[in-house]
Amino acid sequence: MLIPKLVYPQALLFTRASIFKTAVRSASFGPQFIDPIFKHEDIDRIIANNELKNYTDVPVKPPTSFQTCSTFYNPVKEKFINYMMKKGNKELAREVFEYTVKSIKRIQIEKYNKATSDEERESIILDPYVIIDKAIENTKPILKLRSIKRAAVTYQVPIPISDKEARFKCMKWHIEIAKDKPSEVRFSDNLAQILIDGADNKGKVVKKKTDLHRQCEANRAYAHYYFG
Amino acid sequence: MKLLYTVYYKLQSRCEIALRTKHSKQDLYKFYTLPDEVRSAIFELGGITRVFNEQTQIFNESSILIRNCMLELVGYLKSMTNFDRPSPRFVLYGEHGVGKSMALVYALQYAHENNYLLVHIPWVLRWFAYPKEVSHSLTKEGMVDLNIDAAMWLRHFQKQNTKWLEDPRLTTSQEYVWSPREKSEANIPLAALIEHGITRVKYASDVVDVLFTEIKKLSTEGVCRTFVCVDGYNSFFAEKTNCKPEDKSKVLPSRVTLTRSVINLVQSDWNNGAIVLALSPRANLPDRRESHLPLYMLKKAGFESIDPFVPIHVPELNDEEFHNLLNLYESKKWLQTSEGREEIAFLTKRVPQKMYEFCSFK
Amino acid sequence: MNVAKLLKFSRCSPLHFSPSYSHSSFRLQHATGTSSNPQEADKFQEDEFRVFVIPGKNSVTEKRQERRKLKFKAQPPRYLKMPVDQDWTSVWPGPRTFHPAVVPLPLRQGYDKKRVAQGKFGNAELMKVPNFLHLTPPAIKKHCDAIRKFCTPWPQGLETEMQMEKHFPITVITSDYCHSSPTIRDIKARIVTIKLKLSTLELDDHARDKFLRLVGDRYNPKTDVLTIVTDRCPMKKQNYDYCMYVLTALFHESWTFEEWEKEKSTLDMEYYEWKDHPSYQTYLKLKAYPSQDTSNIEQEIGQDPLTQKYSKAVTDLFNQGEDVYTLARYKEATLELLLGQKTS
Repeated sequence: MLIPKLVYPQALLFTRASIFKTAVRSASFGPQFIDPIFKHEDIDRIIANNELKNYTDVPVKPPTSFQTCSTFYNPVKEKFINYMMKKGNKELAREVFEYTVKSIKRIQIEKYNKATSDEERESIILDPYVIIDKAIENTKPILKLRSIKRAAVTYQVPIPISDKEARFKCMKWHIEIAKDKPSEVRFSDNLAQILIDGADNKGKVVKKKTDLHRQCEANRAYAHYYFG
Repeated sequence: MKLLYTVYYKLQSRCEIALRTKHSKQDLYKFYTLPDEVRSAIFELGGITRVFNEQTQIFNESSILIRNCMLELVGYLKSMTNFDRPSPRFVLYGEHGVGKSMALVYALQYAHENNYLLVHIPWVLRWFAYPKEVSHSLTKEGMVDLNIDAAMWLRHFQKQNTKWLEDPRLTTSQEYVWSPREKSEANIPLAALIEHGITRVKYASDVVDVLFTEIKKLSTEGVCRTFVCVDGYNSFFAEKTNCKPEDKSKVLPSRVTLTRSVINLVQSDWNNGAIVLALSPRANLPDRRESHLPLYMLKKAGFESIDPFVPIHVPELNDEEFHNLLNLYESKKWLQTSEGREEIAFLTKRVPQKMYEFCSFK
Repeated sequence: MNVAKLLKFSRCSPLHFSPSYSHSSFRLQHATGTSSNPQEADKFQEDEFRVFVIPGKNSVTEKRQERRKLKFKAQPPRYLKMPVDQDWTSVWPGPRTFHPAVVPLPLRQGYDKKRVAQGKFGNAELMKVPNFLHLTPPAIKKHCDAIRKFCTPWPQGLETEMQMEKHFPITVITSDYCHSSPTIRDIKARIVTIKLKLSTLELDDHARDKFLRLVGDRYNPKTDVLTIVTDRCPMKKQNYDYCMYVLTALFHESWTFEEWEKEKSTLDMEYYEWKDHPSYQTYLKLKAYPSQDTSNIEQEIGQDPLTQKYSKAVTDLFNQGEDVYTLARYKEATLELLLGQKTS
């Protein structure tokens, strides 16, 4: 029997509902298990398109505690919190992320209130999750470098990177760079500023991405080493 | 439920009348703006909560929601015709974050506008939890002074009552001897007394005590109408304080001179005034916060110190208030979506402070 | 081969009396070599040399298997043949460990976290627990009928529970034990429990309060039952005498008024009496305001409906506890007192 592939609607960039597939094959569930469908809209859509019969005999992974049908569920937010988490202290990671979101809002609303013209106001993005999405889009690398050894020489070879890995890398860069701060500055405030800069296509994370791309470009002669 | 949202969305939730005395039932559940001049006149040195302060900075204006309990309290104050009766006590109680301090702000504004002499203690727990300096009292045996806090409070009193302190009728009735070398004569203006307390911090607690007795006398004589306002009154009856004097003895609130002064102020032995107290679960120690009801928070001793009083309950927001508040957040760009209101109502229990904090993460 | 015909022949075999042990189908399968699927049977017949099977005449291997089965053949369980209106007392006359084939009940006992509770056959749990199948109502009726000639009639005047409680208010509870070990005795046999309803004792307010303070946890206010448990003496009789002594002592002590009881202060009181508390004094001062003299006022305000309303409100607040209703009544009273606002 065919396992139905969940086809998400072509997500518009820079909206709140940017869903991406989180199918991770973990040890407990084999490849035949599909991801849980926990959002009301998804369920309604499946019923409306008469696709319910496709799911009658399909084994489903149980949803995690954080995959809720809440209106405020955001997979990007969940990923970010997980990357920020240390020693399983999710509460703290979530709190920090929430303060980051609050910081972004404060900074942007301040800008908005100070803006003089309508055009300026329209150009300011006030939705923090849109800013995060935009920052991720702008700082996602296209290639990565891998050390490949050829004849006792280790070369840095540019190789393609999957979308998942690219997203992980850019979120991780954000967190690392936000940690590098003076002790008086709060991590959440720092990260908020970095995300806003990222959304504007400037700042340290974008610099890191462009540095990586530059290195890849410089090493493009070795690209064929990737293929054996 | 969805239909209800759209209806409330379109309601005009602003209220432009800035003067308290002119609010009526028609203005219920709407917002009004606290003018900046009034705010800096009354609340510069205390009285506005941290959360509301933050909100003001973000929204660029102080918008206060007009609620039933506020109109009720001010209604009682307006209805007082016989000022020969002892000053009535009103006690606001409710869960944490539900709007008691905001109701006090509203009442203080009313009092300020109607030329009351304001005696406002912003948050009692600050004296007991984070005392600046603890010293043994020179005049009262076994008691403990919090002189820097008392001096800071005197400055707050001075700032709130600049007009009244210029009035020549406000004078002391007798001579006060602070030490063998220092004394204040009779019939000096209260402003001078306060100035003495601020500059000579050593005697600040004693000055506060004297000030309260003088104010009570002046009110009874009819010179001024006093409005006493204390936030977190139940701190005076807690089981411990963080005050640590040099001899590291245990200090209960009853051992602090300021406690005695304030409890004396709040008694029924003076007239021509009104007393509004707010009880807060946060003003109690963490193990005594199960209930927000007055008798539980005050305990028997506290209850007896202010009995009889009119208890006014400050409840969570009702439907209309809830939607109006969220509409305000949306108009100020604090909340980005109109969706998920049921979820917000469920998770925050419609407590305004929790709603503010919840919406700040969305 | 016609499968139906084979089946019909197999029914004649002497082995078919127990439906649960029919292996005629097995034999049939064995004969055909495959399952009852006709397509597959045909396939078999096409590939291999057809074996001529005479029904009723088995091969050697089949005989051996049949013999093995004969050895373990069992009779159907007895409960299947039991009529519904049988005399159970003769089936199960005395205490006996559970026997699944005799008991005609569809019992299930035991816990398995993945499966349904186990049935009665091969169930050790059912055998472990004591059963009282020998004490069914008809069995007890028989016992009673047999003993009746040795019994005296139930006393008159003790027909109802109330009468029994009235005449015999104290319940004495003891336990006897018998061991089948070197000692037959058990030290728990000395424990004596006495239960008594407090309403049977004559106590006035003071006596009741003192009694309850002395007794503490032993009194259950919901059921009004006092329970005294003693085991301090080695013999049951001694413990019983001690219980009776304790009860008497408690009763008489609670009626006596000691000197030090006069030191009972308002803080020790178990209920709130308005006039004993500062609330009364503040009320008098309020009423007397601005004069500080409260001595004249007491008689004046005694009959005032506002005083009664207010005192009731405060008393209820303490005695009944603080809730929406008591607070509302208090608010009404204080509004009238402080602001002169009458709501009703």
